[in-house]
Amino acid sequence: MDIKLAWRNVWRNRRRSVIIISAIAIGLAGVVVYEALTVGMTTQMVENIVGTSLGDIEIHHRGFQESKTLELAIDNPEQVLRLVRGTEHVSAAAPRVRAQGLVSSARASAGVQILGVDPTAEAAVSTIAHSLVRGRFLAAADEYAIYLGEALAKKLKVGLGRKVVLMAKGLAPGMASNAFRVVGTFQTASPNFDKMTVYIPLAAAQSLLSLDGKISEIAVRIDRQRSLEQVAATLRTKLAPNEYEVLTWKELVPNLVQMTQLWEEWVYLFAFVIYIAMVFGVTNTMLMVISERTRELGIMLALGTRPLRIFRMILIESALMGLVSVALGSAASFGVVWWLSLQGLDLGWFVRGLSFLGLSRIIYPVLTPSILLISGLSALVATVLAAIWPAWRAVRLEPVEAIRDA
Amino acid sequence: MSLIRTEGLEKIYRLDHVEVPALRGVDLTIEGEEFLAIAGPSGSGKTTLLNLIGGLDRPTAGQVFLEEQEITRLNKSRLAELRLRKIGFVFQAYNLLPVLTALENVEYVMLLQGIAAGERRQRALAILGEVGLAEYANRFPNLMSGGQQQRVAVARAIVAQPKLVLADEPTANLDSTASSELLDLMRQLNRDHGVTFVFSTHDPLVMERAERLVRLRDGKVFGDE
Ligand SMILES: Nc1ncnc2c1ncn2[C@@H]1O[C@H](COP(=O)(O)OP(=O)(O)OP(=O)(O)O)[C@@H](O)[C@H]1O
Ligand SMILES: [Mg+2]
Repeated sequence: MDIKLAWRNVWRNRRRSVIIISAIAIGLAGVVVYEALTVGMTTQMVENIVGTSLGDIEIHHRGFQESKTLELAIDNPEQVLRLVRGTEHVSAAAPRVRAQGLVSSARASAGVQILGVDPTAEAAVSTIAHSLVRGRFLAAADEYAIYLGEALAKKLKVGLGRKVVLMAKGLAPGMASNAFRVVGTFQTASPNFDKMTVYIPLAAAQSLLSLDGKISEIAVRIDRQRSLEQVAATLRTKLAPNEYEVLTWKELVPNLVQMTQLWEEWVYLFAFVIYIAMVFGVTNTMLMVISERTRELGIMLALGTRPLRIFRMILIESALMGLVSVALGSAASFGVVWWLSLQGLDLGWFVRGLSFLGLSRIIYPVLTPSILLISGLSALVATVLAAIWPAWRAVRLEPVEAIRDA
Repeated sequence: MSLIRTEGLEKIYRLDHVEVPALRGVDLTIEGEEFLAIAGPSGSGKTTLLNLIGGLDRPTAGQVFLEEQEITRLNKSRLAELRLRKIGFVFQAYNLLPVLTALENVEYVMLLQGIAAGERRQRALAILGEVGLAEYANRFPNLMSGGQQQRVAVARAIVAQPKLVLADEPTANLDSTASSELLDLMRQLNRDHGVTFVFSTHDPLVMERAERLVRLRDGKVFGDE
């Protein structure tokens, strides 16, 4: 009966209830969509960086990360790879050679980062093979093949099947160089990366740089992000700490972590402002409700209704409005997120300055149940909290005065 | 044992430093099963007296005893409990909760008393039958006439089997036919259920129908017939 009474009271002033309910629903949908877009954006950013050129975890010879020198190489890659691949939650691992060099065509030349990769293993740890624009990715049978950024190919004015010369300082004295045939070009979310990165087969890199079977790093992918630290810790215990260094992507690109945190904080701030507005809106509405129903509340009190019951009735009334709002708001956010996930949200010019962080131009929202649950619950709590003061005012009414007033 | 006894009841309202004496020493005894009208011109203190008897307000001086229990000292929630168990109220108009049907309005008091849903419904239907509104059980108040609404209010006041029903000008908003019908109904319930009715009025036609008439003037009892 209490709920029935409260429910009917909600719909007494239909127009006002509809307005406040839609306001809460819209606010909630705003929070949820914003959060979903932020999560989508940050996961895309992480995936773009981690999935293209890093890996969830990288293993180097200790000291390589600071010096980037080829001397600090892993000289038993097979053994380490076997160990890594046998670790729980590791989904793939790939050896890489990483060095600086110069690429030249007949028309131009550019400083580049050379990545020597095992094509099959690399395709399992990174998305680079899928960022294909023309031609194909490296294949296991390739010897002196090169896969380079589309932007770089344009700059060098080379097409598929043409030759370029790679020059680099390897372990042997003097500069080494060799010719490579272009098999394909790629484009990632990061124009800078595209302009300064080339992929060649691992064996070709090792021979160009006189590495003699050694590699610079092992890139590791894991099957779920929440096991990141755990997998890193396991690898650290498995690999001799004075020789190997195990770094997670969070340690490899700390500013990416900061950036995603910053964006999360913006969401919280936005949500906070919205919830505060909800509280004000509901408090205001409920105060109007109380003043309109003064006489009626006086009669309820006169009949012997306990003040606590009146208090509860007002809170239930507000909670019911909150529930309807949360249901509508969740449905609305579902709709918007679904629509955006088909279209993607084109950030256009806004991302140009941020592309070095791996931000994509078009972002797709990611709606997790926890986003919906937490935002919905917060909205509900906000509406109930907002009714406390008005309900308190209702409880404080003196029946005689309340009945006379109207 | 008297049902109600007031001793030297005084009420002074304070309005921005102006003191308005509404009751100036009322000594009144009401027995069980009485059918009593409190009459007096506007401003004579009828509403004030009923409010004090009903435990809705506190006197400035003097006491009210309900079945020899002093109620003037009880705190707010004890008073609420007392009203719920022992007193029924009928006000001048707009007595009913507008979002509840006639039946639900009558049930409301029993809900507060913690009576089970089945019994509530059965008793509410029975009393609505007694006040002649059985077929209006599922109507909302705004679709009933003023007279019908007052009957529902009387049904609600009596359904919880109180000792006393206080009605402040229950007929003030009714035409003479409806007033007369309401009085007949109250009189009948007074006889059938043995409930004391105390109602205020300034309508001579209504006064005539009372068994006992207490006249108030300027906050004092000025006649008791
Ligand atoms: N809350 C209040 N504040 C100030 N004065 C009040 C208040 N309530 C009543 N009074 C005054 O007390 C006196 C008695 O009022 P009361 O309402 O009891 O009279 P009444 O006989 O019921 O009058 P009516 O027939 O108009 O209803 C009047 O002078 C009235 O103006
Ligand atoms: Mg009055």
